[in-house]
Amino acid sequence: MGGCAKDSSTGCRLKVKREIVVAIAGQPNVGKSTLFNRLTGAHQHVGNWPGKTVERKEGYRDFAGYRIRFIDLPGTYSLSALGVEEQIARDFLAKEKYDVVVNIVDASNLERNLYLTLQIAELTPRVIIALNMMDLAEQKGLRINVEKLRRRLGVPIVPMIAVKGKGIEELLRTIIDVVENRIEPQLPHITYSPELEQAVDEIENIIRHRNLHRQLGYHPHWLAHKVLEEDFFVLQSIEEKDPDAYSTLTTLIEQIGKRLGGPPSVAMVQARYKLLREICAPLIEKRPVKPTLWERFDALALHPVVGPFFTLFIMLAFFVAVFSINTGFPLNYFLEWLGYPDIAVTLESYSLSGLLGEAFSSLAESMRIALADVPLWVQGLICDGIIAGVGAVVSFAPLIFLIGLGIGALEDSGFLARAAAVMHRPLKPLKIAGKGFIPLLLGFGCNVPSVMMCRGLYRECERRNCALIAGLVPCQARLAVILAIVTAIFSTPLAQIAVITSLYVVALLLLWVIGVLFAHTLFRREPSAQLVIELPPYRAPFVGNVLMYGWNLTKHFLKKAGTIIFLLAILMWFSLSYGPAGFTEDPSLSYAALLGHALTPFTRVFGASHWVLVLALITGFIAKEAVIETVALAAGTPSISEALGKLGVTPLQAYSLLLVVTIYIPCLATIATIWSETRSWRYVLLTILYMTGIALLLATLVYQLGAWLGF
Amino acid sequence: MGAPVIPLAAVPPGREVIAVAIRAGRGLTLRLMEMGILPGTRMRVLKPPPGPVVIEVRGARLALGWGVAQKILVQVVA
Repeated sequence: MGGCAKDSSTGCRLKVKREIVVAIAGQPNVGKSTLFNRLTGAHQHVGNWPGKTVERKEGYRDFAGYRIRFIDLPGTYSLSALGVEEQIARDFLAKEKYDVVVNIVDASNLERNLYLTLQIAELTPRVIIALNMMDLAEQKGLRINVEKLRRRLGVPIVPMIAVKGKGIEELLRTIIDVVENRIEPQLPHITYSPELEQAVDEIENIIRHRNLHRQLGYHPHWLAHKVLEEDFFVLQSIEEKDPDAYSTLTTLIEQIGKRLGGPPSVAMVQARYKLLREICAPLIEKRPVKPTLWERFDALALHPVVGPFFTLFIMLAFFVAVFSINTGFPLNYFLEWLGYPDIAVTLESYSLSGLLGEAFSSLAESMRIALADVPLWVQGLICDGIIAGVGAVVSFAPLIFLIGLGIGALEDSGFLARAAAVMHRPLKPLKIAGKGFIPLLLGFGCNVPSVMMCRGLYRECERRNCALIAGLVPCQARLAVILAIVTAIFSTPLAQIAVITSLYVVALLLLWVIGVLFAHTLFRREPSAQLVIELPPYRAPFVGNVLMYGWNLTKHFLKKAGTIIFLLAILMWFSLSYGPAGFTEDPSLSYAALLGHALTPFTRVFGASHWVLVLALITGFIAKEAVIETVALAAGTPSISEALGKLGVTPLQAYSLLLVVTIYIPCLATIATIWSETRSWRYVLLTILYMTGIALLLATLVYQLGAWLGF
Repeated sequence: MGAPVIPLAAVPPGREVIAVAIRAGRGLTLRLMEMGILPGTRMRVLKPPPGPVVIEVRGARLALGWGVAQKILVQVVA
């Protein structure tokens, strides 16, 4: 502010803005993303909350000489720390500095939405209510007396329809009014029963006496409420800081519970809802309305038999559309099977990744010509290292954008909630809710968006478990390797189908077993996923939300995972282009080949008895399809069956090799994505170790058993 | 108020019920209550098992797993 204080020219004043911070809080499905996108437009940044897999969105809007920074808190039904989202939202509200909280509320579902408002009010009075979905309330036959509600609650209320942009200006003006103290919000104080109030006082005394509020950084009165509610995170941190105080408090709560004849937390939720009923009932006029069409649609989507098929059908249609546009898969295989190989090839070469691949290889070629005079290693570094590395990163971008659009639209329309409800059963032992089915299905196309989509799951443990096992879904690139090797080695269609099916069954079975295993070891303290999910009304997706979602996802991928993919690609280039004799254009003289030679005595146990196969497995880390290229290149023939014949690969060896290719280490892009999503090298290492370990073990077992049986 | 107390999972579709008690662990009980299902709350069953139980409560539509619906005890009122 200082530098421009004396200068009154407008140019300078535009630059110098007072910055204010506004938190946006609200329950899920109330249009929070829409509001955030309407408020910030393209000025937003998406990252993660520190150390968590939860998305953190931040953006700004310049308005009336202010730069308003908006922080989008995770959507939560309450501020009780039941999960990471709630913990993040309330720690922000309790500990961070901000000027105003905009609490977005669904007008068609007022009572339950204001429950969160009351909890926010326990932390700060500076609340503005954005009363959203006024149109939906109207459709449901509800008329809300906003003026009376405003007076009753004592805070500014801005009625709005965020999807249509109605009420945004007024909300911005109201924010400024509160910041400039023209309006002073004063939410009603909840009075609990005398017994509860007395209990809060008793607890607060202990807290003050023990100085717990200073140690934990919360307001003592609020902390007393949370202790009485037996809030898990609060009690846990008290136990860590002061075990004596912890045991005093827990005995006290037990006594209070006996006095009340039930847990105090129940009584407190009841008190809040009782107050809300008193506030809301007189202000809402309700007239009966006919059930809408979508209510009948739900009977189909949630049907015990038809529902899963219906969900699967919509997801598959989405899957085929997105991946066909991107790579031609699986439409190309289908066309080939129907007897139109020419169309299949055309489709592939005009798919997005086909076009991009073409562009990058022609770029590399023209660079090679332009760089004819520089040393070979520089040429190699630029054309095969850097350009190929950038190409590897960029080739994922359209896929992730398309998947972002699709998932964003399915989510926004209310479809994903139904899919999650109907697919709940099969993933329950993995402690993953039905929504986990979506990332896992995407994995059949590509593991990268699959790992990214784990962020849509509800709980931290679900997201982590899902990201850990997502690499086991055989992706399209692995299918390409499987098909190439299977058709080269196994002659009868029956044998081919049996081999391919068995590989998929093994991989998916492993996924399930490992998922259950992680659920009961790494995540043993987490309760299993209980299905309690809101089914929002079906509605047309808001284009702005969908585009923003796709764009943010792609940006996140390029920035976070992209860097690692690029670096790993360069590293792989180096190990394949340098050997003991320095730079080489022949991979068989490279360090990677040397490593292949060195490992071959060990890899013999699972049938990889030729060093080229080991080198192929090493290059398969860059991208699975590289396995085939390496084999062909090193054997000096483009025909895979000839190449495998030259290397003396038997059917048993081929099968064991396929097992390894299907299960061992996910490609470097997936690894990079697991890191960028979980932010944990431990998870990355765990994924690499368990997948490679199991792959080698299984392949060895199969190979040795097969050899013993005389195959 | 003489109607028998039965689990929510056993209520036929279209009926209105009043929640009497939630017999679940602390975490789930709190979650259900905070989403508006409290003893005394009126709700309507839209879809019974098999598959998720769908109810309408306080103007919102919720899908509950069979196990969850089994833990919510209700009385049919209409």
